[in-house]
Amino acid sequence: MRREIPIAITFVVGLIMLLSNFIAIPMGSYSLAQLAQEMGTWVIIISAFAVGLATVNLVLIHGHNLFSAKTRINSLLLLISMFCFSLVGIIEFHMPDSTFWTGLNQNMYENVLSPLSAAMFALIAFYLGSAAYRVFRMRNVDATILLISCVVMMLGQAPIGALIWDKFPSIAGWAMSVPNNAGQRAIMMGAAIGGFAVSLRILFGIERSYLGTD
Amino acid sequence: MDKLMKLDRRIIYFVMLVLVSLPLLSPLGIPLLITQGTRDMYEQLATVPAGSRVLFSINYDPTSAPDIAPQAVVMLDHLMSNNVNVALVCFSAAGPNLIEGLMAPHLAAGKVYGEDLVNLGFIAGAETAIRNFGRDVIGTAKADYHGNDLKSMPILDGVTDVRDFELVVVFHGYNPGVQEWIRQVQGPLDIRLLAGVVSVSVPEVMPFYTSGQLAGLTQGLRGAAEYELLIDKPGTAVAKMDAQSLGHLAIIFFIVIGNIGYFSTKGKSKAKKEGGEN
Amino acid sequence: MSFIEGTRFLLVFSLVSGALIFYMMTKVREGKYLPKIRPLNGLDAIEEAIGRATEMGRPVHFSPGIGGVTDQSAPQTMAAMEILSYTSDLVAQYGNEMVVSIRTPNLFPIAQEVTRQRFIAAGKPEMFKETTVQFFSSEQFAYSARCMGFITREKVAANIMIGAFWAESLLIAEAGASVGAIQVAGTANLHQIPFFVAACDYTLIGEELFAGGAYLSQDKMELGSIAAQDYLKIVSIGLVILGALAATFQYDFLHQLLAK
Repeated sequence: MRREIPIAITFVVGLIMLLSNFIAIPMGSYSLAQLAQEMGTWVIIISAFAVGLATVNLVLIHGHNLFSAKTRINSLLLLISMFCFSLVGIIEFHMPDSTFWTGLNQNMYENVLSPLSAAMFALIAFYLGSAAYRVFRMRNVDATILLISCVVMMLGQAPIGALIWDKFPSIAGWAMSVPNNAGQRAIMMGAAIGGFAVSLRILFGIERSYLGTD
Repeated sequence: MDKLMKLDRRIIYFVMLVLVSLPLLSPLGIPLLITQGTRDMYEQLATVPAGSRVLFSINYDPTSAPDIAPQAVVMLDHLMSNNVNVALVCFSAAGPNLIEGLMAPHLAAGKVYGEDLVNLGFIAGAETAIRNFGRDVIGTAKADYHGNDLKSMPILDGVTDVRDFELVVVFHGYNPGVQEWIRQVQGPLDIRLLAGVVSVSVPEVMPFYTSGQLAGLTQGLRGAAEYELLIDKPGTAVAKMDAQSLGHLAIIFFIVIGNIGYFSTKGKSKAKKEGGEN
Repeated sequence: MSFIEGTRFLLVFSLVSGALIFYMMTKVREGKYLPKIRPLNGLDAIEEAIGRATEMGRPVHFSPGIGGVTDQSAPQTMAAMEILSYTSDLVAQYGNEMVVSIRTPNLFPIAQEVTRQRFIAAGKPEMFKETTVQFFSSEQFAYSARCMGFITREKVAANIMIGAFWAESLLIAEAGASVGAIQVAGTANLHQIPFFVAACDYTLIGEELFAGGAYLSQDKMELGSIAAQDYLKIVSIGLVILGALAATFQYDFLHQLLAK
């Protein structure tokens, strides 16, 4: 039963969510769509408990790390910032009319979290440079084609490319509209079909790896 | 020459940093060609009659904002200067604050909230929320970001579904974004949909533009720069394009350096091998 | 009871596709047909990567992506769980250390259970520790920063990234490259595939990720569904050709049919 019950629940819930996208079935004053929406709400509630579980794991691991000299500082910073953000958020939620706590919450988000996220996003540019330097070598025909298309696209997209040769933008535009489109559509269709097959296997209990048993 | 193949990555980072920073301090003014997608976007927005309404779907967060927010800023400026009313909605939790930031300068300049602009706030549910919103705007949004009743707002007077907007512009930084709007709203309801996307999503979204499902497509920071030129108000996006140009040149330079090192190393080892055989 | 506008064709296509998938699974299970999946170098390399990591005495890092189990990326995440199951089994057999980094809280108990059960099945329950499956952060870039820090500090020798990834993919992959890890990556998110191809040693592209579980387990039912996918692709190609011809000669029937 340890395996059968979760599979049965998966099947019933999955079927309701799937059918609600295609068929409108009234159930008295209720409807299938409303039931599906209600189940979506249950997912949010379960997710909230999952956040709690994950947070416990985080606190346990980093609490343990406090006893190790190598990882003490990083773990301490993590725990302090986690508790500070949580505390401010909880207080602000319970005191929405307080301009101090609302402002503090907003400031912490805008002046700490957002710039840090944006800085990490900006790192991609630098890592792209080092990855391109390391990888784009003309080792064989495929690698050469990859290299040439990369260079042409970069020059086609950047304004300076048009200054170097006025045909770069149109070549890059053609590459984007024709071969790229063909490849993207093909991968998109294949991935969509693959995703559909995986979902069907999970729905009918054929795919059970998420249960952690064979 | 061997050292060219094993360059310390910190050198690459430093050179990138310098080349990207310099044009921000002193713009070079490299001319910018305008892509057809941006022209289409401009033409669609420019022909919206004064007094009518447009919907912006803000589907990005502070992380991707540097790449895509300039598009939202310049297009909102354009529509506000043409006295077009704009309703803004988002389907991520970070969106409402970003919308408030977009609206603030226009409200300070005299535009009226509820008549010229409205922040419909965050609607939870991702793709399902987009579908429901497309079919019943007020019923799905229920209230604006500040909790005000939407039925009393002149900007939404007579609105039932998104077809009551002249067009919809989706600013796509992540999912739910363009594809969800196309699947759930553009196709079934046959609306005029335009998209501004982050640079990395352009290849993914391009098939929808070439197929005609998107009436216009602006690409990342470049799209914002092109739009600024089209409305004849070059701003920060145009200035940042010089940085992008030099950044791309830096990457190409290092690729060339790496290949020079690779071929010289390959030539040496081939010569050694032949020498050894002889 | 009524059909929702614009979904009739989709429902019929889904039913037919589902029927085809079940038909093929049954055919393969009964031994009437045995499909073969072409070699997927990325998946073959996982064992090599774990072996190398064990020889070097350095840990393995597994990331199942940052997608959830309730959204559009759920199939990718579930496919990642299949590969996690295989990887956990190998790590247990080799007696090495592995850390599975989790971004989505919902996935945390699932990944824990998958990994723990595989360690138990391999006869090494004591190897599953509290730190084997770790929740890093639910913020995208906080997660990637933690991954990068972990990979760099622990000098991970095998970095396996399978699942739904977004902008953090290159950051994590470059961190792995900087410490000389063998990297196997796979995603169906089109916008990240170029980054993985550039930064990783092996990449699974698109549906190769979904075929991973079937490829590794050689389970007949899963192989049957992979074969059915190929037939569905043939049907899609047929529709594309038909649509192209219809559009060229300006016949609207296919567009109207698909919109029913």
